[in-house]
Amino acid sequence: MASITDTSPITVAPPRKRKKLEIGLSLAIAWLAAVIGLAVLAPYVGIQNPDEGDLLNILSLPTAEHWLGTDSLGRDTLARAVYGAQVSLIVALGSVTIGLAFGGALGLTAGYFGRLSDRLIMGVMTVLLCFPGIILAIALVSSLGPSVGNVTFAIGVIFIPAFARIARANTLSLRNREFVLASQALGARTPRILIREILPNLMPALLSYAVVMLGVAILAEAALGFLGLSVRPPQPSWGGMVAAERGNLADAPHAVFIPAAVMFLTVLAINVLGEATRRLFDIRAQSL
Amino acid sequence: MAISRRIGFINIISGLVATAALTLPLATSGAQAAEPKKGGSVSITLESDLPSLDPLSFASYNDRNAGLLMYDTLLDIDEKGNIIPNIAKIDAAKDATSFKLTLRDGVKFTDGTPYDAAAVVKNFERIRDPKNRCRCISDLSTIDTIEATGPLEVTIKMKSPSAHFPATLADVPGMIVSPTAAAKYGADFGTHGIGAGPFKLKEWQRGAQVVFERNADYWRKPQPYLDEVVLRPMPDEQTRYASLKAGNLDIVTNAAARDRVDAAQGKKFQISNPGSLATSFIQINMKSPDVSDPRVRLALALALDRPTLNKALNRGLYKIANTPFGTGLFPHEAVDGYPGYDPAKAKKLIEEYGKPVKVKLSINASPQNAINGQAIQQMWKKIGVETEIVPLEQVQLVRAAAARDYQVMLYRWAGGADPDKNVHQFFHSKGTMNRPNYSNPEMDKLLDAGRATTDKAERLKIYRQVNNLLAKDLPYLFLWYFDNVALVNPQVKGLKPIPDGLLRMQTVWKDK
Amino acid sequence: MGRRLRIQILTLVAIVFAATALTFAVTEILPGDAAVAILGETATEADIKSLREELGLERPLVVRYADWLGNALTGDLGRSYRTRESISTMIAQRLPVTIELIILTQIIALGLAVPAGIIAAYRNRSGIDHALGGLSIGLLSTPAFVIGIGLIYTLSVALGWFPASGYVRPSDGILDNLHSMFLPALTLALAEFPVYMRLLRADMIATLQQDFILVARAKGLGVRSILVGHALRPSSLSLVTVIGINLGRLVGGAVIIETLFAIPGIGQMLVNAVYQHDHFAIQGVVLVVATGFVLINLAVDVAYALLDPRVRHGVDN
Repeated sequence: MASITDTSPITVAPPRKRKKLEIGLSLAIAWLAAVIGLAVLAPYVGIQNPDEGDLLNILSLPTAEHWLGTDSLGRDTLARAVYGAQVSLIVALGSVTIGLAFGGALGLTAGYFGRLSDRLIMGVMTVLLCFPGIILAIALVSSLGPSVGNVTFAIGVIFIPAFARIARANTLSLRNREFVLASQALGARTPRILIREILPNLMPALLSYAVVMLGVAILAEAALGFLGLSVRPPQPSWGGMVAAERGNLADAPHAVFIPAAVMFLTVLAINVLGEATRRLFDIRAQSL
Repeated sequence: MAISRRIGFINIISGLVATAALTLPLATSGAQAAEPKKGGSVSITLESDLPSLDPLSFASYNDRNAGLLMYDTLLDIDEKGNIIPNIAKIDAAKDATSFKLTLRDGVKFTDGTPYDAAAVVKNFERIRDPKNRCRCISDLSTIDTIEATGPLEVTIKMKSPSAHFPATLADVPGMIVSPTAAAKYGADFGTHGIGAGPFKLKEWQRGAQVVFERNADYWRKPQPYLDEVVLRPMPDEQTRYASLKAGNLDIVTNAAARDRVDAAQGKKFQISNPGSLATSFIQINMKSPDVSDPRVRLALALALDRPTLNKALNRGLYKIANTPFGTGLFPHEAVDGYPGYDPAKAKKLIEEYGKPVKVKLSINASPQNAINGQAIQQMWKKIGVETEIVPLEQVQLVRAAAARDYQVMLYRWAGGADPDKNVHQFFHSKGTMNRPNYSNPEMDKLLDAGRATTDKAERLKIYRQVNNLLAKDLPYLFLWYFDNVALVNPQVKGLKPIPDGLLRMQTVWKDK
Repeated sequence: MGRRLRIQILTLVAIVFAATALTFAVTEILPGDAAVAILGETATEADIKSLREELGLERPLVVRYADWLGNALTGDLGRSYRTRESISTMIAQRLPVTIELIILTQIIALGLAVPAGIIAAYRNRSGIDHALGGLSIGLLSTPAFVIGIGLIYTLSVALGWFPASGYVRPSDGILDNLHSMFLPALTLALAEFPVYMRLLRADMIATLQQDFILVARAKGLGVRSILVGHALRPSSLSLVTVIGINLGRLVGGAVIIETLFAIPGIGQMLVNAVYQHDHFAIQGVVLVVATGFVLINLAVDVAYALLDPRVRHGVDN
C-alpha cells in the first residue's frame, strides 16, 4: 500500500511548454481511450470468456488463438486483461470519487468555518491518516467479502484525509479573497457561497490531485491483490493477475509481465494526463 | 531423485533390530558413502515465525520441525512410516488396551535433569490438563491412567482399544519437556523450551530467526554433526526459493511444484521427496443443501478430471489420491474403486437430481489455492454446477470448518503416522473433528474396530472397508497426496526422507 | 507559545487515543477470532467458547477497551494471545528494525533525488531533465512489490550482490546489517524517489528565478556553490513536508516490503497480528504508529520554522 496516502504530486508545478509532451499526452489519451473502450465493449468485440480456460494449455506463449498467451489455468490473458480493466477502472474511479466527495466536503467545511469544526474535522482526518490503512482493508474485505464494492470502499476511505487536507488548505486561502468577501457583504447565504463561490475555485486543485490518485488507486488495488485481498476469483483484476502469476516469473514471464505492463501503461497514461491537467489549471490560474 | 538413493543412506533401526537392541548403542547409519563431517550451520525456512517453543501449542508443520530439534520424540517413524523405537521402545497388549514404554537409560534434558519415567508421566499430566489447552489433547483422549512402573518404565492403560496410540508418541505428545524447567518457567516456558533433542535454543530473534545450537550431550553419539540449525521465517513463497537460489538458505520446506520443476531442471539442488501421510481434498458438509444428496456428491466427484488438474496445478508431480492415507501409511490406496472422471454420468446425475445445483466453495485465500479453486469451479461448471468461491483467511477457514459453517471446502490435512489419525476423528459420528457432518453406523463400527487390534493384516482389511465406504458416501472428494518436498543445498548431506516430511536434523551434516 | 504548544500536545494525545479506539472497533468486525487462532486446526466449538470466556472476549467492547486503556496508561500493553510475549517487548524488538529501514530508505531516496532534482532543475528541459522525468513517472507507475521482485531476481539471484531476504542485527556486524537491509530500503526508496525529485525540481526552478540567485550569479559564484549553497535550502520546504508525511506513513506502511524480504519490522507484526486476531498486539502497534506519526508531524512543523524564516517570525503566508 506504498503510496496510497501520498499527497505530494500536486504541489509540483513546472512551467513547461513543449511539443514533445503533446505527443506524450496524445498517446496517453489514446491508450486510456483504448483501455476504457475495450473494457466497456468487451462482450461485443469478440473478446474471449475470461473465466474459462483450457487446463491442457496452461501458460502458453502468444499464439494466433491467444494473442497474449494464457495464464496458469489456460485462460486467455488478453481477455483477462480487458475484463480486469473493468475492475481496475471501477475501483480507481469509485475510490477517488469517495475520497473527493467526502474529503472535499469535509475539507471545505473545516476550512471555511474554521475554529471548532476545523479542529474536529482535521483531528478526525489525522486519526484516519495515522490509522494503518492495511487494517481497515483487511477488516473490510475479510468481513464483508472480497468484492469490487468493498475494495473500492476500503481504498476510498483511505483517500479521504488527503483530499480533505487539500480542500482545507485551498479553502483557507480562498476564504478571504475579494469575491468571497463581496458575496458575503451582499448577504449571500453560506451554502450559496460555499457551492457557488468557493467550490468552483477549489475544483482545479482537487481534480488535478484526483487524476493522480486514479493511478495510485490502481496500484493500491494491486497491493491488496498481493495480500490476497482483492476481488473474488475468478473475476480478474490487474493486481490480482500479477499477484496470482508472479510465481511463474521464471517459466512463463508473459503471464506476469502482460498484466503488469497494461497496469504500468495505464497508470503512466494517467500520470501524463495528470501532469497535463495540472498545467492546464495552472495556466488558467495565472490568467485570472 | 530422492536424496536417500543418491547418498545411499540406509536406516537399519527398523523392524527386528529395533525391538531387540535398546541397550546396545544404536547404529546411526549403515552403508554411508562419506563419513559425516562435524561443524557448520544449516538454515531452513519457516512459513511464519513460531508462536512458541512449548509443545502444548504445537500444531503446524513448522512447530513440529522445531519440536524435533529441541525435544526429539519418544518413538519415531522410518522411511516407510513404520513406528520405531527412539528414546523409548513400546510394547502393546494385543487388544491395544495397555502399553508399556521402556526408556533408554542415561538420557538427560539439556538442563541436566534426568529423562526418566517420572518426567514422562509429568509430561502427560501436563498435556492432559485441560487448563493447558494442548492442541494435541484429542490425540490422548482414550488414555485412562499413566503410571511410572519403574525408574525407566511407564505403563499406560486405555479406556478403549487404541492401536493408534504409539504413532501419537512419534509426534507432538512424544516431545518430552524437562518438568523442572516447565515448573520453573511456568507460562513462559514457550520462550525457553528445554528438552533432550539434538539441538538446544541459542537465540530467538522474533520474526527474523530462531538459532539452535548443538546439544553436546545428545543421547545418540556422535550425532548431531552440525554446530547450528537456523530457522528463518519467510512469509513469501517466491522469496524462499529466490533465497535458496541466491545462496542465503540451505533448505526450503514444502516447496511449490513449479520450484521443484525449476530445481530439477537446474540440477543445482537436491530434491528430497519423503512421500506423504495424507491428502488434499474437498470436504463436504453433508448436512448442507444440495450436497446432502448422494447423487450430487457423486456427480461432483465424477466431474473432477484429477489427472488434468494435477498436471495443470501441480505440474503433474503429485500422486492422485483415492484414499485418505498417504504413501507412508499401510492402507495407502487400498480401495476397490473410487469414482473416476465421467462428466457424462455426472451430468445425468445432476439432471436426475432435478434442481439447479449451486455450491459455495470455501478456500484459503492464498494465490495457489485461489487457482486450485478456480480450476475446480471450471470443471463443475461443465456439468452445470455453478460454484461461488469464498476465499477466507486461514483462521477464518478453520473457524468455518469447526463450526461446520460451509458447504464445500478445499482443505488439506497433514496426517498422522497411524491410519486411525486420518479418519477416526473426522468420520466417526462422535469424532471431535467430524467436519463433514458425517454419520454412518457402519463407519463408526469400522473405525472403532481399526483401533481394537494391533495386527497389521487385520487392520489393513478394516481400513480397506473404510476406504470403500468413503468412496461410496463421499464425505471427502480426494484430490492428491501432497508430498512434503524439500529443496536442499547440495552441501547438505544425510537428510532422511521420512513420510511425515519433518526434518530429522541430527543425522544431517554439511560438506564444505 | 506555551499555551499554543499545550493545546497542540493535547490535540495530539487525543488523536492517538482516538486512533486506538477506532482500531478496537475495527478489530471487532474481523471475522473469526483469537480463540480459533490459538486453538488451531483441531479446535472444537466447545473449546473455542470456553477459551473466549477465559480471554475475556465475551465482555462488551467498551469494557474491554476501557480495560486495555487503563493498563496502557500505566505502561502495560498486555501480552500477545498467541505467543504470550509482552507487547512492549515485541514492539521494542521490531520498532528499531522498521526505523532503520525508514532511515535507510530516506537516505537512499534523498541521495538519489536531491542531485537528480538539482540537475533536472538546473538543466531544465534538457535531455537529462526529460530522461529523469520519464524515469520518475515510470517508477511512480509500478507497484512496489514488482520493483522488489525485480531487484531480488537481478541484484540477488542473478548477480549475488545482496542477500535475497533476511535481517542481520547491527550488533552482529554493522556492515552485514546494512548489506541485508539494502535491497528492501532500495525498493522503498525507488518508490519515494520520483516524488522527492519532482518536488525539489519544481521548487528549485522557482527559486532559481529569484533575485538573490541572480545576485549570486552576478557576483561570479560557481554553479555548484549557487545550487547547493544558496538555492537548495529555500527549495526544500515542500520536500520536508512530504518527507514528514512519508516517514509517518512508512511506520505502518512497509508491510508488503517487509513481507517480501522477510524483514521483522512493525509492519509484519501488524499484519500477523491482524490475521491472528491478536488484539493487544494490534493495539500496541497502532499506538506506536499513531504516536510516531503525530510526533513526526510536530517535528516537521519545527523543521519548517528552521528552513523558512517567515514561519519562524510568525508571518502567516
